[in-house]
Amino acid sequence: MIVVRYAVCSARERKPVTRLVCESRGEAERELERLRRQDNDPESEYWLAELGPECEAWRHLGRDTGPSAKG
Amino acid sequence: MSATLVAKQVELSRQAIDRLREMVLSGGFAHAARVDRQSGEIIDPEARALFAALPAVTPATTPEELVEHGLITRSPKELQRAIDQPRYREGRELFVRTTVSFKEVGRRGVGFFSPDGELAFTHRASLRAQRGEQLVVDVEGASEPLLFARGDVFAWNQPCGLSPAGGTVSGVQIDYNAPLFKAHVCAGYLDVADDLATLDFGGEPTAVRRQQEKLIHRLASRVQMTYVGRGEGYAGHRGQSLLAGGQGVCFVQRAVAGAYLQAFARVLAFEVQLAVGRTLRLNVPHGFAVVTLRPSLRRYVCDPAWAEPLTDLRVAFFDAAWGHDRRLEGFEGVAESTVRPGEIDLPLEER
Repeated sequence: MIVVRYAVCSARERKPVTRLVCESRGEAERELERLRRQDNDPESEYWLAELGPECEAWRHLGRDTGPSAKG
Repeated sequence: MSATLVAKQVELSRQAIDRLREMVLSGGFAHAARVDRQSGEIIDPEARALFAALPAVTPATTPEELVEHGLITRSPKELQRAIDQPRYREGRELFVRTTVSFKEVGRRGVGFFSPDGELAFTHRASLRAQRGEQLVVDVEGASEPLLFARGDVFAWNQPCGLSPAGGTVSGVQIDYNAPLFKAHVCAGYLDVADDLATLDFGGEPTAVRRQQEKLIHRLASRVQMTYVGRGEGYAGHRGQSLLAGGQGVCFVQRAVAGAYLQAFARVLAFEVQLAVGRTLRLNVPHGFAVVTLRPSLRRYVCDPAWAEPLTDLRVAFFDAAWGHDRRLEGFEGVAESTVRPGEIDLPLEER
């Protein structure tokens, strides 16, 4: 799969959400760690997901939630 | 197309349905419907040929056509009467956009009207009357009824999703003519056909509603996807390849589930709205679908990403502190904007 964006995801009580959409893996890894520290919630799980060029849903996910929402 | 050709095509699709029925009953459907993780193509060439011969069922397919195809034995009794009941009548619960508070206060839930609140959607509204071009709405938390333009109320409450021809929503391509989408829809009909034959919209309203709930829950549960990054399944843009075992974010999952449910909406008498929402706790975007039953107009949330095939809407929007962490922000897709005069049955109020 050609990866064009990275979703920073977390789940609590088996309810997964995308916290941020980033343009690069490095940025996504940094954001994941920042969110983990910020939440300080041992019950939450965190992971990165690769989004392909066809995943237009990132436009919803990127709204007002992080770096990709700019502009 | 000549009558002979049409008859031959009907015969071929009936034969295909008979073979699919055997597959569904023997538990072999899931295996036959497996797709290649990269391409999304059906792996089994025999299944591919069988699925291609199935009839396409779209949101526009009539119950009579379903009977003719042999997918159901008969249409639910009094179905037309259920659909003919006015959509906009006194007591109908609505979405309206006004000033709303999402502050947690004890055990009462969130989403109440608040003059100092933010401009947002609330589900805590019910239709009371009409006054000229405006509708009079009771909103929980407001000391007196509020007035909304009819056009706004219709825009917020009419069905909204895929057109009967399919299309693309949240980047997911829905093709009701794709062999695998046809197979999933036909398998769904074969699964519920016996119960559908006993559905009688002339029966006791609560019993009717419960049966609709049960059937829609069963159909919505056929959409089995994993959240992106947590599975090994197909992660592309084809709805039919995502439906069973694919992976996607919440917006993708609800696009697939909503489009799938729309293929059953006409015969089971319900409506779908593809919702764009947000969580309360983390304030991040979240996608889900709203299902409204006819004739009861009772509302539910279908949220496949959170493993909730059908949750009562008042529960689904209750309060993050109680595990129900979502609010509505808008809708996505093609809205059914026309409201016929016969769909409105409200007392007239003086200005």
